[in-house]
Amino acid sequence: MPVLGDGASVKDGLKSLQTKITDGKYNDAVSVAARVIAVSEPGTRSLFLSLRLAKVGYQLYSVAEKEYNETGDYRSALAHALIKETLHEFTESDPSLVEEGVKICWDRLKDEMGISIAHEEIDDLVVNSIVNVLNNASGVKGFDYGSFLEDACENGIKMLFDAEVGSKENKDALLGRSYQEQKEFEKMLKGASGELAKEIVSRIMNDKESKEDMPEKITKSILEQVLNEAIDKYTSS
Amino acid sequence: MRPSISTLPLKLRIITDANEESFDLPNPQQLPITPHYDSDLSARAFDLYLTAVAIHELERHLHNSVNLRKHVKKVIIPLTNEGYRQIDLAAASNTLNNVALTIFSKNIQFDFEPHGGYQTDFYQENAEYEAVCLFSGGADSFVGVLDANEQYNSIVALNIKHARSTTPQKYVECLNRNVLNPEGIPFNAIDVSNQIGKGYSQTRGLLYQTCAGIEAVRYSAKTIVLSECGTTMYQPSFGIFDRVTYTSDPMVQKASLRLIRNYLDCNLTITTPYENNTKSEMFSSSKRKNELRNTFSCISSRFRGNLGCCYGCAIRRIGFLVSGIEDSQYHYDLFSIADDSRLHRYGRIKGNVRITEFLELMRFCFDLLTDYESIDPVKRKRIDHYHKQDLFRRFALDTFASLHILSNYDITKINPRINAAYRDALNYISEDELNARIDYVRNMTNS
Repeated sequence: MPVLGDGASVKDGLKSLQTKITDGKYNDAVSVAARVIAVSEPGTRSLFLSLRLAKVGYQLYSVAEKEYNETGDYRSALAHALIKETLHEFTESDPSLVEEGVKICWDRLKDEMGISIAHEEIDDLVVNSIVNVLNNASGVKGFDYGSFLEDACENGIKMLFDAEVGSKENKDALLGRSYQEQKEFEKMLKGASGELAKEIVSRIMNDKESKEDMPEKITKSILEQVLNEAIDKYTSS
Repeated sequence: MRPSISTLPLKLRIITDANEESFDLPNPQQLPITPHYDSDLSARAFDLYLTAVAIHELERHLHNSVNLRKHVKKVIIPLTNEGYRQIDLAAASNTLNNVALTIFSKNIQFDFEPHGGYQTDFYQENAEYEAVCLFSGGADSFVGVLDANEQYNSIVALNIKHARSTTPQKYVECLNRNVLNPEGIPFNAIDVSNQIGKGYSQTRGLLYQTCAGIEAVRYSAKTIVLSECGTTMYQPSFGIFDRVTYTSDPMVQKASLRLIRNYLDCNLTITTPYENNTKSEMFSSSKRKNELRNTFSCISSRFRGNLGCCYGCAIRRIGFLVSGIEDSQYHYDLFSIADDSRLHRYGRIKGNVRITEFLELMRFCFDLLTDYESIDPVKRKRIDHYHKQDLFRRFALDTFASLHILSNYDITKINPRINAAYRDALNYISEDELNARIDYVRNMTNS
């Protein structure tokens, strides 16, 4: 999985995850899954990039929210915000407008940051983590910057967990379990994504520099710190 | 049909942040290059063809080059002088930009440059048909072309013929000879370059539908019939990072129509009569059930016949089993292959890879039937966007119904992992429901 990279630590982690799933040790498996993200350079970078795009996403949301408060039509308000922001000729009724609009914002952000991404999976993760927040924000009053970042970060972590579970070996292992166990494990991963995102964003918001400029080095250090702390938390529970 | 070629090999120019690369646009039949000037229609039809070919070639080059994929910014497509003057270039550019955003996830700017001569067979014909029906030799288009022949006063079956694609062509020729011809359905083909290997070719739908548009204008037809089943048209991702086919995606249909209307100044429609049907439902309503098995559905066209374990073959098998129609022979029996067997025709991968893919499909179907909301929004976005939840619920029932049918024959022949997952699913899905589904499909018959 390009989104996780193929470093030795990632490979070892995925192997260990396979063992935990095969043995039905799901708490340990969640802990290992968090560790894999912590040691994966593309993984933490993808999360960082999701957070950076979330800043843009929140600006879009704020513009949409103003119109939504007047009209009560969130979809339309969001479409107008995207058209205004991207200057692109979208059809308002296009069901994939939000996704396409966010892709344009992402392309621009990459240019601004002077980065290029070789693997489509990383683009997919970053874009989808924001698209999901914008789509689900429908009718949510007072959705603040922190909550927006938190949801984007949660989506990003969830997708990285999915990438781990979706790796060939782990897919074999998980699909070999009963449907009930598969769903329980997925629920645990989802819960962990939310908890981790909450902690990450709380630390970002408490650090003035991170909150305003989100420098890569500091943000990634926060991400790694929280993910590493989580390892003990889930193993011991 | 020999659609090309211009006075010189035309170039597709791909511009990145740092440089520009240009590629010859393919000449599928290696025709001699002769300057030729003709009516506006043939020039613009040639332009439409070449634009669709250019997008297909762009996909090939992006697929082959990481550098281009990372840095592509702008693409320049050649147009005839006539087309350059008459086509709404801004609108065409916008349409292609949307296609690139959806399919390549890239915000690529499209521009055009004029060229002089061209030679083309895209002339207005005297014969007239009411509809053009795309025909690939697959099961869906086979059902569709026969159905369209009854729905419309006159149709022409159109095959888009990829270079070096011998297996599908053999099926097409055979079906044309044995079924279409005796039914009095005229058949035409348009040559295009070879398929893009490794995974789905995502832009081929644009190529097929725009070629159908050209054919429609040549024969004064007002309708293009795209007879793909709904479950393929709206195929969801079973994994978060999976690539799904865009061949008949509604966005591609819209883009094709916009290009056709813009380039050819005509008002065509694309009709999708089976967009709310599963494969089993389509098969059940087929007019020539005995011939259905002679169609080709395999994603791999390197070998003669349907291999049996790719996604295309898997959903075909489900369709045949549930509709109770006799199927073709497969090289491999997906449902019974051993996990440790070597599948030589799939590059010697082990059976467990294909079994795991099928288990993933089963899991998706399980969630569709038991806990739709738990499916990740990324995976089900197409279903949600186009409100196809009921279609996919029926598809999910078909998947488990096919296993139900197989388990009634000889349970020992089913792969143990598939069997275990099926048995587990029966804790949540009743056999009565599966039986009712089978009865429903088999009673849908149209004959």
